[in-house]
Amino acid sequence: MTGGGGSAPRGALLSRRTVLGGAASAAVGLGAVKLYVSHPWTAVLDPAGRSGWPSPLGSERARVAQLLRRATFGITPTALEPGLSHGYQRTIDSILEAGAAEPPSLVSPGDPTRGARLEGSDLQRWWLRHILSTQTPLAERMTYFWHGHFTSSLDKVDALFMYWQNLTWRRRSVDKLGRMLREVTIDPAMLTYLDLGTSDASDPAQPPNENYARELMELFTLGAGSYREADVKAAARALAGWTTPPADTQVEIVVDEKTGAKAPIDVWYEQRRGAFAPEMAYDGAVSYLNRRGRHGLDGVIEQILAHPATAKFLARKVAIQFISPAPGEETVQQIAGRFRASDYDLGELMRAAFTSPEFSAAGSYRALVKSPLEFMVSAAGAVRAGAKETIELVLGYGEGMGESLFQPPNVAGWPPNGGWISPSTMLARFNFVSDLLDGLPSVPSARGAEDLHLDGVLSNSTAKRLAKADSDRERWLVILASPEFNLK
Amino acid sequence: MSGSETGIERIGRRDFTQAGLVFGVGAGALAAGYAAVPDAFARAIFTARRDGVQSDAVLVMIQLAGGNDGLRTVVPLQDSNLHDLRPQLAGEAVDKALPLTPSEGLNHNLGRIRKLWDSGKVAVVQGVGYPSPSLSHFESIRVWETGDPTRRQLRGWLGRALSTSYDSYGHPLTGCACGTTATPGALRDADSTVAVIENQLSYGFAAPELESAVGAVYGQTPGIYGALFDTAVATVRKTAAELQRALPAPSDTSVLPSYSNDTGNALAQALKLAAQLIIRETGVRLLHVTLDGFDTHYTELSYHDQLMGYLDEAVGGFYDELAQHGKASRVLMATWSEFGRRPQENVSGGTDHGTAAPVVLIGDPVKRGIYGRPPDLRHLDDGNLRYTVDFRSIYQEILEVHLQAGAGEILGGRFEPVRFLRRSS
Repeated sequence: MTGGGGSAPRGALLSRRTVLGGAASAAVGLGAVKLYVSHPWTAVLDPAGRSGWPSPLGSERARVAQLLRRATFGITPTALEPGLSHGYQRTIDSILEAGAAEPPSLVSPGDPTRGARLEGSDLQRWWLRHILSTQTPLAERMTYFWHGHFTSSLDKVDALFMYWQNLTWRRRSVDKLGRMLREVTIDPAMLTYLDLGTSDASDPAQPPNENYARELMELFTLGAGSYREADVKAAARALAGWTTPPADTQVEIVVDEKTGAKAPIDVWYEQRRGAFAPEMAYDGAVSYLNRRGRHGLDGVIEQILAHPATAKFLARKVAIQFISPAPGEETVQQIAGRFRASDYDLGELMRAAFTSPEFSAAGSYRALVKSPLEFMVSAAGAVRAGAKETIELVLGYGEGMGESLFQPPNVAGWPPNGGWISPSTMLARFNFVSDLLDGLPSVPSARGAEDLHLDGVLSNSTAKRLAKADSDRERWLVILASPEFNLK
Repeated sequence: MSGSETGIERIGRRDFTQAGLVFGVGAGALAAGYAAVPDAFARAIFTARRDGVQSDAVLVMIQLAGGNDGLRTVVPLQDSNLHDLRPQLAGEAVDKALPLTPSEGLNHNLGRIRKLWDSGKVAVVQGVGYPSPSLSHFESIRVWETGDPTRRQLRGWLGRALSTSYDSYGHPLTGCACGTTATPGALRDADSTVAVIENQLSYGFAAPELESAVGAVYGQTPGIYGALFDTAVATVRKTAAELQRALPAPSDTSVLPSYSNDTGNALAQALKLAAQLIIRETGVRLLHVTLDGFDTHYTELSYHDQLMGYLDEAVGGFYDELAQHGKASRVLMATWSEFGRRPQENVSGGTDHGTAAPVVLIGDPVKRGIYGRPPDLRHLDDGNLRYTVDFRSIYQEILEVHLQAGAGEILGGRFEPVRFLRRSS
């Protein structure tokens, strides 16, 4: 399993011997290899003739490293060392309690349009810069999670509204679900993306727009099968009336550089939420999730939170993205139970996931695939590439790997894990690594890199090829392009 | 080959996995256990397993993602109910439609497809759907992709076709998705390899030493993603080599089709690549392309017309390109979408998720006609159309008559035939 060809640096915490020893216990993990789909769109995996990775998670170092790979955007020596001295439990506490550092405002103070003319690429660069420099990485990781959950897209929504939505995800990243749901529902980007802002339930002869009502239940909270079509229609009525916020003012700007032609555009002085227009709302009672009443936004959210499927649905989604593509039912139940008991505290949800026994079980080792963003940011961090270069590479390669920030493929977000792997995306990952290394002013030493970044757990082929590498560039190429580094 | 043989092979594999468990637990020498996997059981990439399809027929599945509005694609011209249900959307659609028959017309932006109808190369199957329809995009996409309305099947219907009937080709491009980075669910199957080419121009390794390094690293990757990784890497290496052999240099734009330079038309871009793969005999048989944006809950009028225009431009150009190179007789195009849309329009000038809708089939193999029954707008189920043709009847006709693959084995049953393809005499 593990190569004898590589030469482990002296003093590495995980010696080759440790790894080989781990192989014995990993044999048990073979039983966990099974055929499944983790998402309707995730690839079917073929278990035949494959052994599992030997798990080093018996060691605290490996557990801390895995936590950092999953709860942040990768391992750096500066992040790993404090984690090792605090231990696993205290590392969880410290990343969860760090709060969410606000990124610098994307709207410059002198901009008379207050960001109304932002471009999508401005927004992508701004967020990437913050991801690379933040002192509160869990908040960014969770902002990224919510980006793939409460989806909206630049394909349909202006960059300014997408910017505001990103600020909301971050501020509420580990807040209460009820508050998050309320703010996300009346967020101008969401009101636009899923059309609630155009709905109107005042005329009984004309059906309101169902788009948001359906996805709120199917994809954001309950999951398909936990509600009836009649609930979609009821929620569409109950939620109608929220519209995108009216502009605070209009500003004349040049819209055609050649002719100098001007036109007025809408300008908002600051981040706004949706506005309620009672004349577009439904005036009456509906029966929603088995309760009849004059439900408005708050009534709908109350019913969703009263439904037992909500905690389970989110617990499963978090488990699939942070623990294992096919989490055990017991794990999901236990996380859901703690989540619901905490009055749907999203920080507790994550704490329950990180402390669940399955998180550190042998079968969860390398059970998740890094997303393109996680892969690129962690690779760039490993070779200490500059922020500016990294940002341009991420923007250039993201689409080829199947991920453009602020442009999810559809309302379900990106299919995780196996969904990231295809011939085309793997090629883009490899070419990225090559480009990344070519762009470095000098390639750092790769000494100890396989221990820091791969826990010293290498497949035979990776170890053999690494042993043959005769330069730091080549060693980094093998490490960063390896299946080991593509997993987390 | 028979279905029972497939069954035996699958059982054999499962047995091996269990046997592996027994070795592993006792021995602790997992490395040795892994190396001892008999070749016959190891995943064989590109190796012949059994005889398969002998024909050179090509299928292009065109996904209209988001739920295409069937009533604005094949427009009922004489049904007054349509105007009652759609005061905003119906009038223009009916007035401008391009008639196929006195009672049915194509969307006014489907002019090139209408011309193909005139030359006998278009079939429309009305009312296609499945029992107990789901109005969820993702559930319904999965139903169409797997060919299983009970939602138990995990493997794509084209993926199953590949593994049961095509693997003996030993070719990386037999199944191919163009213009995307992800393997479409319809082609997905753990037993088959599928090429995924987003863009021919960027489909190559940045450096030869990069390719040799990943070639050395991937091959026996452990873990649940091992086969997925290794197959992807083997496929990309083979595909890149094949593209380099078969396709003109990317800089040589003179030989690229010129039928759409609108970069907004992603379907045209994908079909241009598909045309190249077919014309240059790269061995492609089952192709999948996608046009996205059909989830028209809001101001459908302009969006849907634009999408119809994209579809028309892409399909028309693709057909002409193939015909020019003498390949059109082999190629069948079929549209699919997870569902149609609600007959009654909503307050936003759009339509919500619906059920049954027409499937459009295009190409020389088609027997022109409108099949199935026209949509019955007076008898709706909870506001939605009742299906009259099971979507698997379409798959069956395509598999049996066009591809000459074992439809019964692939679809797991027989469905009422809909004979929209020519029979070779």
